[in-house]
Formats: sequence, structure tokens, C-alpha cells
Amino acid sequence: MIKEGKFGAQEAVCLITVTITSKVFFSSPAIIAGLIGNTGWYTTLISAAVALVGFCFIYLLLKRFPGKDIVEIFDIALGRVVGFIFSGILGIYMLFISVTRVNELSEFLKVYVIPLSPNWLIIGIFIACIFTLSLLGLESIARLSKLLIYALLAGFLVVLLLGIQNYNINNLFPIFGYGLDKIAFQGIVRSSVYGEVIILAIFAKSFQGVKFIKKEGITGILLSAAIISVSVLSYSLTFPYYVVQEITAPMYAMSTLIDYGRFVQRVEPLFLYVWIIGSFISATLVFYSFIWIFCKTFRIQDKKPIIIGSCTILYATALMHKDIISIILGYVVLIRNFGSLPLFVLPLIALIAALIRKKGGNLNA
Amino acid sequence: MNLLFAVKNIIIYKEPKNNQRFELLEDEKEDMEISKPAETPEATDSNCNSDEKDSAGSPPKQFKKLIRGLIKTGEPKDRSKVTTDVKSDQNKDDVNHICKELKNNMQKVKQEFHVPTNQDIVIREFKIMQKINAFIVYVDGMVDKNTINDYILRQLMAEQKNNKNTKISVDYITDNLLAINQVIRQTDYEEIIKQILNGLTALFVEGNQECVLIESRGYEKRSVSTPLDESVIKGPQEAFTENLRTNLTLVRKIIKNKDLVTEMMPIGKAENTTCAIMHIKGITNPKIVQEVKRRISSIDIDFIAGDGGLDQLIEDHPFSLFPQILSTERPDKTASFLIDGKVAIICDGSPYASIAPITFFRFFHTSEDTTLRWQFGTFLRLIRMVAAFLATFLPGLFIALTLYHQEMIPTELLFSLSKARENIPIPTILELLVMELFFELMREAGVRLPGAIGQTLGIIGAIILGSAAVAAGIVSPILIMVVSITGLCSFAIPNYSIAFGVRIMRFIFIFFGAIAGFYGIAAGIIIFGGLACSMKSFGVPYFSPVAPKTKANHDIGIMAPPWTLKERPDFLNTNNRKRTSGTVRGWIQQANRGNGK
Repeated sequence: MIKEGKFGAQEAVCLITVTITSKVFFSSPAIIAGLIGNTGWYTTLISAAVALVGFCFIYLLLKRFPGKDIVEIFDIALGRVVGFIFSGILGIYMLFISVTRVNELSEFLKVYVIPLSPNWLIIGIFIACIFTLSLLGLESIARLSKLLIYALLAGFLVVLLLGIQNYNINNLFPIFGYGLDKIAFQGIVRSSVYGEVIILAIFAKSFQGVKFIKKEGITGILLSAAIISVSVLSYSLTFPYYVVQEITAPMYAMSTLIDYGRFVQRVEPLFLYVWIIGSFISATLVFYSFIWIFCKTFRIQDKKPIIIGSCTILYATALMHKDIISIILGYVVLIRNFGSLPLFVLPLIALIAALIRKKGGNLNA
Repeated sequence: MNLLFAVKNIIIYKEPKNNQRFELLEDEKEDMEISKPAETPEATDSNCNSDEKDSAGSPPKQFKKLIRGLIKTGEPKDRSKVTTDVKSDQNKDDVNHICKELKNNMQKVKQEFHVPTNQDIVIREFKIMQKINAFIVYVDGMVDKNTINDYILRQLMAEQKNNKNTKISVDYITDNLLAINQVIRQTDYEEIIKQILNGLTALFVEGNQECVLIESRGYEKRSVSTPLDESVIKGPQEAFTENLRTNLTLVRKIIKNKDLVTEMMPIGKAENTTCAIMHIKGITNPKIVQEVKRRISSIDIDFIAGDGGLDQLIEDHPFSLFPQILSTERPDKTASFLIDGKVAIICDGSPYASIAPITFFRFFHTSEDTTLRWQFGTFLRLIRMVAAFLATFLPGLFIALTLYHQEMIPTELLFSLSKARENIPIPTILELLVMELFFELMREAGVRLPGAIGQTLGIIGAIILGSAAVAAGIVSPILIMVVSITGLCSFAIPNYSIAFGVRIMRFIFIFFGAIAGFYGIAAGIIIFGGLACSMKSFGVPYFSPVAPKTKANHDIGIMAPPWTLKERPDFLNTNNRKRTSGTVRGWIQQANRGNGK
């Protein structure tokens, strides 16, 4: 059986946090500004609260089947056929997220950083990193994220602090944006932002028990909510909401405005590393989740051949997109609006099925 | 055919081998504690021997006892300490065992050592107490001739007037005649020959099926000198030598602890080199010691040149650029590692000790850190970390900036950069690679040349060739600065092995920077970071205690005050975590109590 080793709570929290928060560097902030104006910084807290409820279902499911991961639980709770379909949906969704993330990063790099480099090279390098990390396994990805999170957080905070000179409190008004109803609706719909917390259920066996998963999940969501909220707040303070809608990557644009005298100007290099490394870890983990689900679903013992094949598929799929617009307004919107279904609703259905069919060791859960 | 086979190998799927690597897991502690009562010296010996027995081709029990006996220097001569070998139950015709006839033994020895072609071997025939024929064998130059003349031959050849009728047996010789502190009786030719090559003298007596191995080593050796690779301003100035015994003594001199155990082991199956495994019983996790012994005893190679060769054969990831065993020439550093709960391996003939397991951050520590005040130690460590960072990334970042991200360079700096590069005909990447190569050449040539000439060459190379290159318009002055700073930084890394890794990685990062700018460098960080994070040194994750996070004392990057370092690193799963029973600075408590009164 393929083994992933075990790792501690801090590494798990780092993994979840890096995976969830990396999307703040991309187009999501611009889209959210278009939908709810300048209220994104607290709307995301509503999303986090909804995600916590969703995570409760995942936790209850895991508690009912201690020592099992979500693929095994789907099989037990729903039967082999339905379980297979559920796992398949989750796996394909994970692959879809990773493709989108590769596309987002490659397109933004092309727009902002290396406009003359061909797409095949940018995506190729990305895939090479994903391939290497996937071969090394989850334990290595977790350790890498733990090791780099200090540098990522430091870089992130430096950008936020240096950007203070451009903050304008008036940009936060009107405080309720386009209206409370829209805020509430988007807050619920966009809970999928925190949906990657399901990774804890996918790799449940690698964490030290259900109690730890609960702690790690809640901490991960809260920490991610804080980071996303602060970053959305910072660019909301920097740009008026109607300007943010036009910027493809607001956080990056914010870092280019930093100017302290003749020498300390434009700290995008610092931000660039935070951005790229965060995206690498995030995309790898999501892709690796797909590999794991695939191997578990088809009961494949050796993941290496699957990684090679899947990386080829990932590379080919990532090259297929039409343009940056199709990614931002197509894939990303799709993921944000409907992401909650595979990430939170599938485990909920499994939990209900387990309760009805009286499956699972801990019937009092 | 070979090509077809290779293609077939690529296409056909092979089941992965289940390579279970050694892991030092925390939950194993309980198992260790259960087995603790059995860890008396005798029990350990028997365990060790049973392990060795299991491993194919491992040396027999007798030999282990023999060398263990030899290493216990300074112990009073005790009859019980003189190893009484188990009488062989094997067939007497076995060619590997001594026979009663002295002539046959002599023939066998000559045959084994290719005498008379081999002129290093000395065979001296004589009569013990002018009665019984005997001969001694030793390797010329490996023995102390005074010992042989005064305490072996003189004692054996002298006529014992009071004991004319005494029957001369091996027992009698060892008990009454030889005035030597260590003697061992041995029957097996293979072991005897190894010990002769080790510098011992073998005594064969007519009519006896045992040979007496007499401690007589006295070969030339270098005296203890100052460290060359790891010199410090403040701190001990002793370094290891090529002599194993001297090295062990240097460590023992620092750790005056009865639990400091030295286990001697032949390396590999050829057993041409002996190594000492040092650890502190009661502190070091026995699983680590066992794993070190298992790896060393399983080596099957005809010759190993010192500890460098051994390190490569026993480390977990030999293809990695990051070393997983720390090599040090300092006894004080070795002692500090042993006290932490690590294992030191010292090879005979090597002036270095190999330390395992080791983590990444320990490569940036020096002995000086602890001898200086903690604030200064912290400052030095931070400087070294910055140096390592610059030595790895600076040329790559420079390439990335100049080729891809010019807009990120402040305007004034961009002007001076472009002005400096105005007349340079070659591309920046080539310019950088040429200069880096030139720097590496200069460094290598400086090392190979004798001391004074080497230093002169470095200065001449740096000043004359550097300025000439700038004057000739081949390279820009800013590039000279980049290469010089990088070189300087790589010298500031305190460990030679990791500094070498950094030197090679620098070229890889130049390549990454050249193909995709900062994006490429970030990709390089991810790939190398991932590979390093997947590594383990004897079961301990390479980036412990940061990734994975374990409880540790604060002695990682920033050095905490010495009185706060109350515990040993958690990732070593030591048997005794506490370094102190309570308050390190007891006098403060006493003073407080005094004030309270």
C-alpha cells in the first residue's frame, strides 16, 4: 500500500493555509470587487464561517469512520459504485482546480513578469515542479510548506506594511458595498474559497487522529480567513473598488506602487517569490490530492506511473485554454460558484447516507 | 540488444521495491524503554554480536571481543581481561586454524604474507627460555622496536634459573614472561593476520595451538596540531590526527564520562580499516547506534579511504548535494555532538570525525558560537546564514534581474549598470559563467599549490586578472563585485561539504535565472527545497526542528543564552532529554533565597 508518512499539526495548518490563501494573489479579488464592491475583506469572513460549518460535516464524517480517509468512507457509506462516483467527482474537481491554478499563474506571469517567454516554457517549469514534489510525496510537500511559510509570511507582511503609504480609508466606504443581501449571498457562495480544507479528509491517515484534524482544520480556516481578509483590506484601502475590478492581480499591482525615496521603490520581486512559491505549493497539493484519490479509487498501489501520466495530462490541459479571460471569467468563476458542491456537499451526503444506513463504528457521532 | 533492453525497461512497468528506510519515530521510545534493562554491557554485546552474526560475512564474535579488548587502554592487566578464546570445536585439519607444528605455522605465515618477496614482514625465530622453539611475526615500521627488543624478546629468551622444570605453555608465557599490558590469545589465522597488519606482534610457540597477539604498535604519527578547516579565534586549538587512538583520547579528554562508549568495528567485509563508533550510553538513542553499526557492517567493498569514503557509503541520499553526515576535525565539536545525543564515527587513518544524524541548521554552527557570548554567537550565525543565501542565489538573482526584470532595478542603479555594460561584447550570462569558472579555477589552483604560493596566486588572480578583465572590456566591474561577494560568502560557510554543495547549486540557480528569471529561481527553490525536505539523516528529517516542528532548545539559527538550553533536541529521541536537573544558574536561586531571608 502506498504510504504517506505522518506529520504534525503545524505542518498540516501550513499546508492548508498556503493552499487556501494563494488564490488571493490571483484574479479572485478583482472578481469579488465586481460583485460586492469594497466589502470583500469582511465578506470573506462570512465565507470562512460557512466553510467552518462545511468542515463540521467533514469532521463528523471522519469521526464516524476513524482511521479512514474520505475515499474509503465514500465506499463504506455509499457503497462501492456510488462511492466510486463520488470519489471520481472529487478527484476530477481537484484536477480541475490544479489546471486552473497552473493556468492562472502562467497567464499572470506572462502579463506582468515575463511577457516574452512562451507559455509552454512557463507551464513546463510549473509542471516540472509539481512532478518533482508529487514524486517526493505528501510528507515532503508538508515539510516544504512549513519551511517556507515563514519567508512567505514575512514577504507578505513587508508588502502590506510598505503599502501603508497608499492606504486611503475613504476607499472602504460605502461600508456595506452593494448591499447586505449581496454580501450575504456571495459570502455563502464563495465559501468554496476555503474548500481546500477537504485535503485533511483526503489524507486523513497522515494526520494524527480525528481530534487533530478538527484542530488543524479550524485553525487552517481561521488563519487563512485572517490572511485573506487582511490582504483584501489592504488593496481595498489602496484602490477604489471600481479600479480593483479592472486590475488582474490587485496584490501585485499594489506592490508596484510602493515608493520610499529613490531607492526603495517597487518591491514586486519580493512579492513575486511569495506569489510563485505559494502557487507552486498550492497547485502541487491539489494535484497530489487528485493522484491520491485516483490511486485509492482504482486501488493502484504505485503512484509513480500515475504521476507521470497525470502530469502529461495536466500539461496538455493547461496549454489548451483560449486566453486569460476564459480562465478568469470561465474556470475561476465556475470553481468559486460551484466549488462548495464537491467540497462540502458530497461529504454531507455521505454523512447522511452513513447515518441512514447505520454505517460507521461510532454510531453516536 | 542493450538498446532494446533499455527501451523495454522504460516501457514495461516494474513493481516498486519496498525499500523501508530507517526512521527515528517518537513512538518507538516506549519500545526502547522496555528493552532498557537488557542494556547492560554484556547484553549489548550479545545483541550486537547476534546482529553481526545475522549480517552476511560479518566478522566473528572472537574478533569483536579482541578489538574491543584492545581499545580499552589504560585498564590494569587483569587475567580476566585477557581474552580467553573459546576452544575451537572445528576440525583440526581446518587450514584457518593454528596447528601444533611450528614449522607448518611458519610456512602458513610466509605463504599468507608472500615472504620472502614481501620484505616488510619480519619473522624472528628464537627459543623461549632457551628451551622451546618459537617465532614472532610483525610488520616492520608498524611496531615499536623497543617493545619488541626489551619487553618481548629479552623476556622470552632469558633463562629462568628458578623455574628450570616448568612446562612452558601459552598460559605460562602470558602470565609470567611477557611484560606487556595487553595480550590476546588467538587461534584463527585470519584474525591473526589482520592484527599483525594492525601493528600487533604475533607469537607462535612450538606445540601450542594458540598464538599470542602482543600489543606493540608504535608507528609514526603526526602530533596533535591546530585545526586547518575549522579554525577559531576563541576556543580550543586542537584537531584530530590520523591516529585513531589519539583521536579517541582527544574526545575522552573532553567528555570525562563513564558512559561514553567506544565500539570498534571493522568497516565492511574486507575489514581493512577499523572505525570507532562513539556514543554516550543513556543519552544517545540505541536505535541510532544500532543503525550506524548495521550500515557499516553491511558494507561490502575491498577498500575504503578514510571517513569521506565511508560517509558516502552509509548516508541516506548519496545523490543529494546536501551532506547528511557532518565531518569535523575538532574534538570539542565532536564532544558537543556526542553530548547532544549523536553518534561519532572516527576512522583509523582519518583526521575527521563523522557525526550522525545531522540536520541542516547544524552545518552553520561552529565551536566558536558557544565559546563567545550568546549575542555574538547569534550575530555570527546570522552572518553565516546570509552568506549561505548570497553564495547560493546572488549570481542567479543578478542574471534574472539584468535579463528579465530590468524594470525592478531602481533607476539610478539601472543607469550605472547599463553604463558599465556598455562596452562589454559578450552576453551577461556568458560573462557571469566565465567569471565564476575563473573564480573556481583560482580557488582550486590555490588549494593545490603550497601555502604561501597558493595565497599569492589568489591575490594576484583576484587583483590583476580581475582588473585586467575589466580594463580589457571583457567583464563589467559590477559583475566582478557579484562574483567576489559570492566567493567571499561561500568562504564564510563553516562546513566544507555544504559549502561545496552551495558552489554547485549556484551554477544551477544561474541556469534557472537565465531561463525564466525570478520565476525560474523560485522553481529551483521549490525543487531543491522539496528534495532537501524529503531527506533524512539516519531517520531524522533534515530540516528538524523547523520542518517538521519538534520541541527543541533554541540553538538553531538564533542562539539562545546558554542557561536556557535545558533540553536536548527532541528530534534525536534521546533517552535523557534533560541537560540539567533544574536551574542552570543555581547561584541566582541561592541569591534570591538569601534576599528572601
